[in-house]
Amino acid sequence: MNNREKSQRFPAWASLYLVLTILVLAFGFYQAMTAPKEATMGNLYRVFFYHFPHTILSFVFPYLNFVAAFLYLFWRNNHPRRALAADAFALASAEVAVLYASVGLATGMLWARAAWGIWWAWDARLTTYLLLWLLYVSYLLLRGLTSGNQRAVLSAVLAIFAAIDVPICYMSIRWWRTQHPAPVFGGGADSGIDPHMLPAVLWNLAAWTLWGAFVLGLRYAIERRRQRNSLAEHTDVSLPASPTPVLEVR
Amino acid sequence: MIPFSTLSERHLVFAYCAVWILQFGYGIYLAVEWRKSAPKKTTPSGR
Repeated sequence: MNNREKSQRFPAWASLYLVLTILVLAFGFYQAMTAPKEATMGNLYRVFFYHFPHTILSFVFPYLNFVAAFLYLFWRNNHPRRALAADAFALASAEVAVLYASVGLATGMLWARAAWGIWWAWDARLTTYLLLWLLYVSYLLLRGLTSGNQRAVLSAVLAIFAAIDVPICYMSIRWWRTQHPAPVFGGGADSGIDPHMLPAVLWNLAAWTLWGAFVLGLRYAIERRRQRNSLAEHTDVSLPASPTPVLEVR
Repeated sequence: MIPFSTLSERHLVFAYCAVWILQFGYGIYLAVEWRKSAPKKTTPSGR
């Protein structure tokens, strides 16, 4: 087996992790389908088992993006190699944030249509969540439309501003009572879920967290490979010769 | 078993399908990109 063939393969531990993740996803699905029926919504409430983990995780990935963007700006002059890694991680976390927020929006709208009779309401949670999605789509568009030093710096600045929406969106159902239901967890004395439904929530939260970490790691690895390939094309060596070309290539 | 007859139960199926299509579609996209991003040639240092 030559070097190229070796480098195309997933590491064995990553394959094992993926198999474990798929098993947990399958068990989470089984738990979601066998949890007791809800008194008011019947089977429709089972959307919650996918909607909740995706929405919660779509609040986590933007913070990873924020930290990576901050580190990029912090390191870009003195530690260009670290800055390049931080930029790759920022891109990966923004892409996964858009993915999870898209799922959160899609499942939420389908649930709303069946439960409320409407696809959408301009209430505080839905509006701030749509804004969150738009901000990270804008981040990816900005990266696509700019190049060189500008790309990483502008997108890092946007990432820092975009993260401001996350706590507002998270707290919106606590601060303002509108169309979206009050929080199920941590929402006060009346919040909570039947203990028989809790395993389905926790298994699906674990499953989609494992999957999110997998796609995040893979996306990061792809971006690092692209950076190395680009450097190799420009410098004909695998490691950066000086800070300048490091930051000017993708 | 869940009878997928009412509007709410159809939407439950749509929601689960939407999740799988988006998530596993992205996973397949990443697998393709992983292969495409493989180094074109070995570098002088052997990395």
